[in-house]
Amino acid sequence: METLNIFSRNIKWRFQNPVTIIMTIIQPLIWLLFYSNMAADISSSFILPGIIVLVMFSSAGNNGVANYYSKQNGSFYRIHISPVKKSSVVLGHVLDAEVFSFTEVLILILISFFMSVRISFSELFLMMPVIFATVFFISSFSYFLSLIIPSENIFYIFLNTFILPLFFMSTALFPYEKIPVQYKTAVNINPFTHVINSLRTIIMNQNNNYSEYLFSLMLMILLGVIMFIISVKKLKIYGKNL
Amino acid sequence: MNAVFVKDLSKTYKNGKKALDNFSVSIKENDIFSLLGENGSGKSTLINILTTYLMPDCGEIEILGKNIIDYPHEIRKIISCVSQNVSIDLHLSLYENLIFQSRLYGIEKNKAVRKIQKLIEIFSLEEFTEKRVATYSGGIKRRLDIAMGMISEPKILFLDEPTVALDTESRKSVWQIIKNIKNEYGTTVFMTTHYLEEAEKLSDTICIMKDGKNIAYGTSEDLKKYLKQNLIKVTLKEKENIKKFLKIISSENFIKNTETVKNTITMNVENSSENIFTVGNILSANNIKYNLLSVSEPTIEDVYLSLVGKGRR
Repeated sequence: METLNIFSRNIKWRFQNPVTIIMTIIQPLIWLLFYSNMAADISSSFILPGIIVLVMFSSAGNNGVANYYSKQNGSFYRIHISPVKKSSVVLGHVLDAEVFSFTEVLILILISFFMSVRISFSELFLMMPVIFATVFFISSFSYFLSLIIPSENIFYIFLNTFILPLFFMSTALFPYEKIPVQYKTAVNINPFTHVINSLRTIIMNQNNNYSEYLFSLMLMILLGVIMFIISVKKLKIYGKNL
Repeated sequence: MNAVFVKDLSKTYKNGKKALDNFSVSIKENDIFSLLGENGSGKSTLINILTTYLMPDCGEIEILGKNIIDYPHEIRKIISCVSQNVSIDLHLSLYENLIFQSRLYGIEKNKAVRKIQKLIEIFSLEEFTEKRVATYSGGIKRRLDIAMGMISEPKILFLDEPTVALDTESRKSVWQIIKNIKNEYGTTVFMTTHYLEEAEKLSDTICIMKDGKNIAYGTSEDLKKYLKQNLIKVTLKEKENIKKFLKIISSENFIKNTETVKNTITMNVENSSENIFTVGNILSANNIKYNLLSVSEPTIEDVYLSLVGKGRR
């Protein structure tokens, strides 16, 4: 009930401001259109998983931004001193990011349909847990950042500093085999490489690689739960250590 | 039982700024209490600690007999705070804002609807229920903000500068609402304000803060006595005589300091009932015509200015 209350408040704002959905999907969409047409040996199906992860970075990564506005107008404080559980507050924000991200991913999949990418319902169903867990992790992390980074500007700088390196230092644009040896360890360490690989095996009908799928799913669940707990703990003591 | 009991409370921020310095105060239940002080005197820090947002360094705090460090969750159920910035959600309607706030306090829907109807009536918000919140004036937004604070029917309502940036009419409307809150709900109101007139008119007790310390506490009348100020007021007929009069009285030892507003000169003297005759004689001897010469009672503003160190001279 508490979570639903926070979630419905956030989601109402989201859908009254559809521009936030449009703005965050533009950049990944350009990447999808540009890369699919420019690289002769790379298909849209290959590039789509990386773009989906990029969309998740943009949408779920911005989850913490709302906190800066609510701190300014006092609603953060009003909610903080109410008896509502801190876990419900964080979860309400994370679920908002889930709806936001899933909306964007569906838009991407619809657009990619016109680029000859075919994803069946069963494949989509298989992709959903990985996407959900990844968004859960990114949005929890973003919420945590908004509690420790004092200003919105520094928050954006931090996001921009890490999003693109994480994107490039993965298998988003190139198959693992084509990545230079000296970068392979970094690419392997990047957890999003495994998310991209597992989504790619589903989209490109390489369903025999379940171990990669399960590994990325478990990894994202683990990171998501850890980050969620840290965010809740940080929110509980927020203001107390100023 | 005291609604709020604070003893030897201190708080120093990580940046080294000492916000509260052995601050003590106690507030009775169902009182309207005003906290006066300049910016940076520690008012907001005190509210943030009393509303469980900030952790004090040391000191004892009880809210309705419950220790704030041991029972923060229980205390959150019985208090509410309206912050200085209007914190309503502009993307929600008036009704949605109130419902959202009621759910934060776990109020069941039917009960919440009944409370909302009552609050809309008490806060005179009937004509605004259908309008978009974003189009409300500052005064109406503030009324809704306070109504949200009252949805849980808190035992103590904290109001941080509730009338700041409001026009005169809206301020008076908020004053009436604060009185209604006390009378209708029996709520203890703890408010900070910069408006001394507001504190004097509304409050049962007033505390003046400076540099994180409680430097004066009591009813408005207590504080006026505390100042022990003897004031004589004279309103001159001709403005041109002000300089001449001030020059003459500057050599008189019984006058401690003066303040001039338009044609009126207020003098802080040693003994107003005796010194008024001397002032009258000075005026007559120098042929300075006047409309009014009287002994004046100090206002709460005089007390405040005297205590926070802003001399009149």
